[in-house]
Amino acid sequence: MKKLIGLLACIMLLGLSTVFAQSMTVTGTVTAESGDVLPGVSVSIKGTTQGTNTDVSGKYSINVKSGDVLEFSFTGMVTQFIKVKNQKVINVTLKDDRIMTDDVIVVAYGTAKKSSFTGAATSVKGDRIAAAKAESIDKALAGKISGVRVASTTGAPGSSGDIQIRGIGSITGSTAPLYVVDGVAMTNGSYGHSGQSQSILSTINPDDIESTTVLKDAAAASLYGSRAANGVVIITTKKGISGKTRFNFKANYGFSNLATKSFETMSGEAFYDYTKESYINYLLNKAGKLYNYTSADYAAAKKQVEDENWMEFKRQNGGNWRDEVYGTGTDSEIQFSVSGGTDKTKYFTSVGYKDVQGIVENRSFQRYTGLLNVNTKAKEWLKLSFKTQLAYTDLKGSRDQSDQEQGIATTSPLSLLFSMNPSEPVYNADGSLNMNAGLGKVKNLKTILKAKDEYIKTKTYRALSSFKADFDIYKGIAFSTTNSVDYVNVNAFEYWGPNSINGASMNALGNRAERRVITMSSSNVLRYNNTFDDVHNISAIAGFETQDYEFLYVNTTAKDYSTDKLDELAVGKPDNASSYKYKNFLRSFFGNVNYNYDNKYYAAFSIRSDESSKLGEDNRQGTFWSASASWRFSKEDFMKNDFIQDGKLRFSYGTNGTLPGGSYSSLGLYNFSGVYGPNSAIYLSQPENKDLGWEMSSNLNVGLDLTFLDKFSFTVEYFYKYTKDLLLNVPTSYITGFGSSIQNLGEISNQGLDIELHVNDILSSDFKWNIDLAVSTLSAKVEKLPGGKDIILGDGNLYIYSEGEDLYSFYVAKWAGVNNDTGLSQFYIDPTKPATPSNLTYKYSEAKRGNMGKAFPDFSGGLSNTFSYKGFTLDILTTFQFGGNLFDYPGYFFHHEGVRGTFNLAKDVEGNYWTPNNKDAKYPRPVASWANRPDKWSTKNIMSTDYIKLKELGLSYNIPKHIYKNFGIDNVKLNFHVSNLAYLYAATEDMELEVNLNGYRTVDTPLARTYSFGVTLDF
Amino acid sequence: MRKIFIILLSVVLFGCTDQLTQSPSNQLPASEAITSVGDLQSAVNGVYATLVNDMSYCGNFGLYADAKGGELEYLNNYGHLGPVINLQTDKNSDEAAGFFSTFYVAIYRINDIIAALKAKPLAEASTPQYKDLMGQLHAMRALYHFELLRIYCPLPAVATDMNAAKSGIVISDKTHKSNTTFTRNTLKESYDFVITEFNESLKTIGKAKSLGSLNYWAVQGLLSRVYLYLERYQDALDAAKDVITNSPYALYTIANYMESWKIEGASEVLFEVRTSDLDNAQRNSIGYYTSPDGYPEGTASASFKQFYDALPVGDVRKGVLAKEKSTDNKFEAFYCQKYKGRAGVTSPLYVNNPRVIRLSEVYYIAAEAVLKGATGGQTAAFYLNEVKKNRITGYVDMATVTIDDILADRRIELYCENARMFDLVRYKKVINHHGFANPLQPTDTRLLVSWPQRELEINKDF
Repeated sequence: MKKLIGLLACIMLLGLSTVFAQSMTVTGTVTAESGDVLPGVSVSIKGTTQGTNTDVSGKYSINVKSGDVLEFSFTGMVTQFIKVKNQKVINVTLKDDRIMTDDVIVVAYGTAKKSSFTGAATSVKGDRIAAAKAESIDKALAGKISGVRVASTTGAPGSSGDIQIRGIGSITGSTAPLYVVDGVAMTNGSYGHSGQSQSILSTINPDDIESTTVLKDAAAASLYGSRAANGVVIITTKKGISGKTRFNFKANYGFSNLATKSFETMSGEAFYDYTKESYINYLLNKAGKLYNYTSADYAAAKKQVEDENWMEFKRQNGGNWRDEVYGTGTDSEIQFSVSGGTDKTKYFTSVGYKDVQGIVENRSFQRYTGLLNVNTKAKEWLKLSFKTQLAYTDLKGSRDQSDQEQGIATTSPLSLLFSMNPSEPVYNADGSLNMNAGLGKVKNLKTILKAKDEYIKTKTYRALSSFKADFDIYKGIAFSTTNSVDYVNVNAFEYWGPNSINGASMNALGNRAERRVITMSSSNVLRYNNTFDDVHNISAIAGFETQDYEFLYVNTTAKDYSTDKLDELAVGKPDNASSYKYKNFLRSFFGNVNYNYDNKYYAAFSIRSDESSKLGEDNRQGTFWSASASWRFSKEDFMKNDFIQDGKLRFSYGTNGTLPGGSYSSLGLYNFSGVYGPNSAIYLSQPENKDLGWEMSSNLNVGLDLTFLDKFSFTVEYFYKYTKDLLLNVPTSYITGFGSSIQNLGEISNQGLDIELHVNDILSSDFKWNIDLAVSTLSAKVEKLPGGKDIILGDGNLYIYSEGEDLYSFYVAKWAGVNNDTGLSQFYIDPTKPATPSNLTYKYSEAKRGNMGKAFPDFSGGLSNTFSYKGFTLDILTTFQFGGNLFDYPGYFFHHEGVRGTFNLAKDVEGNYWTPNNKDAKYPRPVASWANRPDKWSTKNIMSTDYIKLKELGLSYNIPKHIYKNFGIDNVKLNFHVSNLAYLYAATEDMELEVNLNGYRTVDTPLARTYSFGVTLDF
Repeated sequence: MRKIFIILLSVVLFGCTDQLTQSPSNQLPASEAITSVGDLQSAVNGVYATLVNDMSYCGNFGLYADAKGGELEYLNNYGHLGPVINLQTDKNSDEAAGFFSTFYVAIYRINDIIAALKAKPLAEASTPQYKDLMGQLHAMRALYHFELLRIYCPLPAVATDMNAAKSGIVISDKTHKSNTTFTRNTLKESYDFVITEFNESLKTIGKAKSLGSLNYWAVQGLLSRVYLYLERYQDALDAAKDVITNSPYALYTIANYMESWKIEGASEVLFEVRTSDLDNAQRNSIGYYTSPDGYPEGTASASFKQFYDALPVGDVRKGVLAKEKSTDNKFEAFYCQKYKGRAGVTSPLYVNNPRVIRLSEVYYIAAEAVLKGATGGQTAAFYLNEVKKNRITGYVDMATVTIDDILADRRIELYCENARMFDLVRYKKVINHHGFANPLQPTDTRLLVSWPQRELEINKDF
């Protein structure tokens, strides 16, 4: 019976033609250029699904017939094709392909050879991601892929990254890409405790990643339809290789400190002088003599300040408070993986542990992960894959400003630093804490940083499990089904002790919040693959997919604790209990056809139809498509030369969409969770919007790929992305009951060039030098707004959107600097007009706001240089950007010009403010309690973010094998790595210029510089 | 064929329900939200609850007229009440947008409820409870329009032309599409609307005492206040008289005056907004502003302190002010003692019901109206004496009283109850404000809150 089935399958698989062909066995060994044997190389018969892998000694054996073409492929190596004539033994040497020009890359719903792919996609190998030592993959991509901009929302451990692919996809809609892990669209986003940045992307261990592909244009991404307008990041986890069981062990230990000289404070003596000056000016102001005073007036005011003892502290330099806040953190990591298997069943399993202790006390991130990947060839025609990714993370921290709402929390590290009187020592002479060191409510920051009183602890559990089955149905026809459950549970616990700043008025507060996300998805794809007449290559897919998302939120709080010794809610009085659930559902059909003629002319077409429960009944369905073509001109006879090895022109055009973030944005709703006194209350919580639809973007891509002089690989692409029907959070009159509503209005465009250059082994010698350069330009404009009216958004109305202007434009008053005679700040009344006397004012309230520059850079990128010699490898990643600006929100507090007596000032004000003896100073005379408030937001707070930065430096050494070969160890590698090493050039000094992508510098802890040492063992 | 394929997969993977129609677990569409009079009660509660925020009676608006009227000072300007004391309520201020949104959002919720009931009438539409609730909705709509008028427009006493185009507020009495833009009505139309709505309310609203809700007596009291502002003294007296003679409310006595601040439903309170540990204005509450352990931004000004010192010894309202300092011995000053917290709550500084209208104010209104010529009531002195003898031990009735006598008693009685600046402006008196060298004229535009910048941008023809 088994034989019969086997025979049937054989017939099905090979077709009738096999009956007449003569079968034979070919064996051989596959080696690398270095001479090392290569286990795990895929050896398959081109155009069929038949294949095997090389074993641990690089040997393979396969049944073929004469005329078959054998395909040898291995990640990171150039794929080779060899036609079988009568050879019994075929030995192959695969060339190292660092730049992956003809690698197989993972793309939407399958894989593609880089050479035959008509879309825009860039792949990065897992080791380059892991090398960055970042907690999540998004942060690890910085400077490695053209067109991808990355930032960290804060420098705190476990904080989320901020990533944008090819510009800014929306104004108020999402700008985040879709993440797809092993064929499953992954739940992403921040589910952390409100007021704290946290990323569930950090549940994916970067060490488990085999490769990452970023899909940038419509041809690459439109198969993901309504979720792909902001690009797609495809993550492929590590799989097993048959043969000997391989163990890999990695350990790293590092330490970190603040990467920049950010947030240095004024010294105690300088602060004394500054404060005194602000009091003198206060008196002059009160007497109406601020602008015109005589030296006698000044002397009288000074005398009054001195006689009445206004200065409540001594003129002396106190402790180094900055060092008390920003100390040394640590970063340690252990990774262990085992992989192996037989020809039929392969597995990869890993466990990982990472522990980051932040540079601020009591901020930490710990992660425990496990991955199990099992692939088995159950039948000749059936492949099964099981995967489980487990993660548990433990984040400890406090509220931050990642929401970019105004305000600096009294207990935030930065606020603590500037709330300390710089003339006060940290400790008293007797060694006790100086509990009289604060300018405001906090007496000594050390007591708060200890965090016994106030903290947020967030534990995240994730299990991402999937099951995949591939059926070979008939020659060239296959069906695969991928089904997954992604379970994420984020448990946050926030506690404000009875003696804490925030908890005192409630006699403590405890809050436990659970956020649970369960996403189930099923993806079913029918594939067809064939070659006709040796030159017509056709592949096609048709698929059906569903995604079911459920979000549950449970929140409980207690107040009025009976003790400060315990933090559990049971210790307090029950205060609030609440829960709710969101659900949404997506149903899709999609298809794709690829055709190429003789690997010379390529064409492809994709289409996808999505229906989402997030949208109104009448507007629920959307269709997205793309068409693309490419011409591999290097294959033309007239192009045959020694200079160009490969050349391709690519063109693509298509559409993508973005769905609203909320699950029920189209419904008019009453909220049932309100209270009034002891009674329940319901209220209108959302206006109805039946017409709500997708945000639609169309995407043009023209690219040129060149491989020349054997070692240079160059790609340049021009993209133009036009997005209309924006999901715009349009400000509405409060008379309509709401301050804003989401409407499909407005249009924006993004365009630019993405350039990548890879040079492999420039010197062609033992001393190897490789270069990877990625550069992007960007122009992101507002094209159309409802009624042509400007839209002003952001907290404090920081951003203006006007037709024809840049996205992320800052909307602030224009500072004209300090008047040399009066020593006071002047502003432009009309910022578009020149600085004539009639257009300048001292009164901040008279200054109109204007568009004062944009956040995003004109061009940015990264340059990676890798040098290797005799086992040593030095990798230096430099990142750069020019043409962008940031808004220095913390700077607003710490250049307060005397009005905030409860804050110290930034170091750069010291000796640089106007006094009668220092009339050329940058900053004005301080005036205490001045209602004019010249410290308010202006161009004074807008800074250039131009920089060139040593982002990563890695040095590794492979210890010669002969030393440990006898111990059964295959490889030992030592490494040293530094991230955020130094700015080589910075337009604005002593500041972290890597801020959020919208240019908002928050009051949170900036990035750390991390030094780490590690060892890797293979055995 | 395709269909079979889909159905098969749907059945296998997700069951066969229509997953494309989803609704939230804690919210309902308007048509399903209000289907009984009980739901209507909850929806009316939802409108009251709109007022429990930092820009309403519970927070900055609760001390607004005191701050601008020169009664409050700050020891440290944390930027919450301090700017109001500095008269910084320009178009970009928190108050400009905050007061506007608080009251207009509440009004819109009323409009939406009324529209929903019109679209889908309730079976219980003729019950007293339904009628009472409808009366409350109209009363709230009138009150919130009136508050907007007091905040953004000159009081009738100082208005140049009540009929000038766009001199009033936007009357909002129906639902609107979200992209609607608005123009303002005249001051006369706006006040007429307030009176019409109050009168509409009086037709059906209940007369029973109801904690935290408006009733007939509260509406009459508020209406008499509006008439007073409009200088319609006879109407003011008629309404006030109704409350004084017929309502179940009683003036505080010397014995229970101070205690009244610690409880809900005190004998004089016609309408108060209910706060609780669950729902309050937290650090932007009237209690937090007037405590040395909160933001000490609302301490007694020197001029108020001077006035207070001159009060007779036997006046129980001497207890309204006390010298306090914070638990860490800072911010020593004189603080208002009305909002020290309701008895038995967890967060006393947060939980204080703002009194929107009290019986004693109605007595003052009656007194003023009589002085201004209204007839049919007692003498002005009678009404004022009634209050004062319930405040001052050994009080001897005055034979005649003046407007200044009434204003002076209002000054202490309604301290930190959002009255002072309006009182001074109504009588076109200058305000001697400690923060300004020259007295503030009653027509000074800084005594108004500017229209919010965002609304001016959205409503080009505002």
